Amino acid sequence: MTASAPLLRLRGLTKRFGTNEVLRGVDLDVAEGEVVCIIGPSGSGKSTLLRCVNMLTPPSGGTVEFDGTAVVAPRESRWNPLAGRGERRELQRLRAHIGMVFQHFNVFPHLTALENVTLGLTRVAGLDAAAAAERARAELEGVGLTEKVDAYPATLSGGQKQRLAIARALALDPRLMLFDEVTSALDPELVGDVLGQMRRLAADGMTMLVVTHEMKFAQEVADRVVFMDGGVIVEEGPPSFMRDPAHERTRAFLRAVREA
Amino acid sequence: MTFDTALVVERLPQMLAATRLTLGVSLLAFVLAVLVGLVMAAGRRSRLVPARALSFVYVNVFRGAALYVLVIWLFNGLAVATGILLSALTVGVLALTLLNSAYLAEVFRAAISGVDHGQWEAGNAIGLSRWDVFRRVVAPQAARIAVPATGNHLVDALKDSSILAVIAVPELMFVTNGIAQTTFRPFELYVTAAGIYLAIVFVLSWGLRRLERRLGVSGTRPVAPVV
Ligand SMILES: Nc1ncnc2c1ncn2[C@@H]1O[C@H](COP(=O)(O)OP(=O)(O)O)[C@@H](O)[C@H]1O
Ligand SMILES: [Mg+2]
Repeated sequence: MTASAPLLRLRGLTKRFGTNEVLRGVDLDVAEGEVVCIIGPSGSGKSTLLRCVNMLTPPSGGTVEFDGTAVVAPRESRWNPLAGRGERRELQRLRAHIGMVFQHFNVFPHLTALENVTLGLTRVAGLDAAAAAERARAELEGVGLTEKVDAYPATLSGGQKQRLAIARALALDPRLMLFDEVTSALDPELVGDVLGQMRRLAADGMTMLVVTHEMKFAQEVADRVVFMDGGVIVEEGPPSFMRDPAHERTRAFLRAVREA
Repeated sequence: MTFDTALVVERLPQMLAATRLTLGVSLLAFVLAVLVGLVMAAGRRSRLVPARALSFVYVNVFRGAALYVLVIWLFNGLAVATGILLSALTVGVLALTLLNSAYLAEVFRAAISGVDHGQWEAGNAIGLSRWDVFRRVVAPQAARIAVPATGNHLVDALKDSSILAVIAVPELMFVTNGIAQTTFRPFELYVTAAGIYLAIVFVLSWGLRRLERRLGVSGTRPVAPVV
């Protein structure tokens, strides 16, 4: 553990869906500039953990701290329309600093590539239209979509959609990026495209929390790899630990992944 | 039997004048129904218990109401019960609005639910306010889904306005009834009235299909069965 406070600090995170305990006490720190990859079998709670960071899924218990500030889900009242307004505004402010990229892209289909990126710039970052367009163009250039600024997502390949989603998040100058299996829905030949983008981002010093099945990416890019199973972190360490994991569950998982 | 073309030609201006009221009443009711429908759809989706309860009752009461019964009740029953006396025209607009808004609320609600949940998440994740996520991300996509069914309700409002003849709103059907009774030529006159309704529906359907194409509604198909 470094002496300075981590950028992201999760403590005792739990999540239940009904009686299904999906997270059962997760502690995790991510330092500024660190790339942490989360691996583990399907259903182990990786996505849920990631979504708790920005409260897309509010945890049942535990705390999320981002840059020393508690991230809390706004109170939801069934009676008082004004309940939780301040908390919601605070959460929106924090979310702008935490970029998220999804497995299924979730780009906005009714907006052009440029408009996908400018929406957050004008409505969240408060830029005027001209400044937003300029910034968005630069961001799209950064992910190799210069030719596609006026294209609608329907005309883009999966890899291009995912790079657009990355540009949309990066435009808001996030301090942390969350990636949830962002290459799982891509045709194999487009995977490298998106992973390359993420490698560059990591090389530029972005703090990243990455749920992935790409073991090679984890091996080569991660500063730390976290293995999750059954809603807990079973084992974590530098990527080299994957060559000789201490736990049988980790070994079984890695064996299964390699055989696939 | 011969078709009295001269009679039709003679009475057509009178019928077309009444058609303007038909159009006015149904368009006004439709616009109001869209607005009320939006509010009620928002109510159905609200986390607030009173809003949900109110819109649930509204939608289920007026969706279950028969237009004919609603018209008669608003015109005669309401005055007896409350002393509120509404003009026939007001009753007409009100009844068409109540009924169509209840249906449209369900159309809009379904359209909003039809937008991929990932769109809300992506909007939330970049820090948009809840209103902005709805207004800028979800609503434009929901609108595309809702256009065909919404267009059907415009056509319905137009055709249903003929029922207002029973409370003597001088729209196309009422005027046609009057002429038919004095000239004893119902065949020609009702054929003409049917033709006018058909022509309007045809034009509306054409306009709606163009709108759908412009909005890029997927799998564009005829919005309204013609007639
Ligand atoms: N919104 C939800 N409602 C109910 N159960 C959920 C929901 N989201 C996830 N789960 C359940 O939580 C468990 C963990 O899911 P997830 O975090 O997506 O796992 P992973 O990403 O590791 O595959 C699964 O059993 C899944 O069915
Ligand atoms: Mg997952």
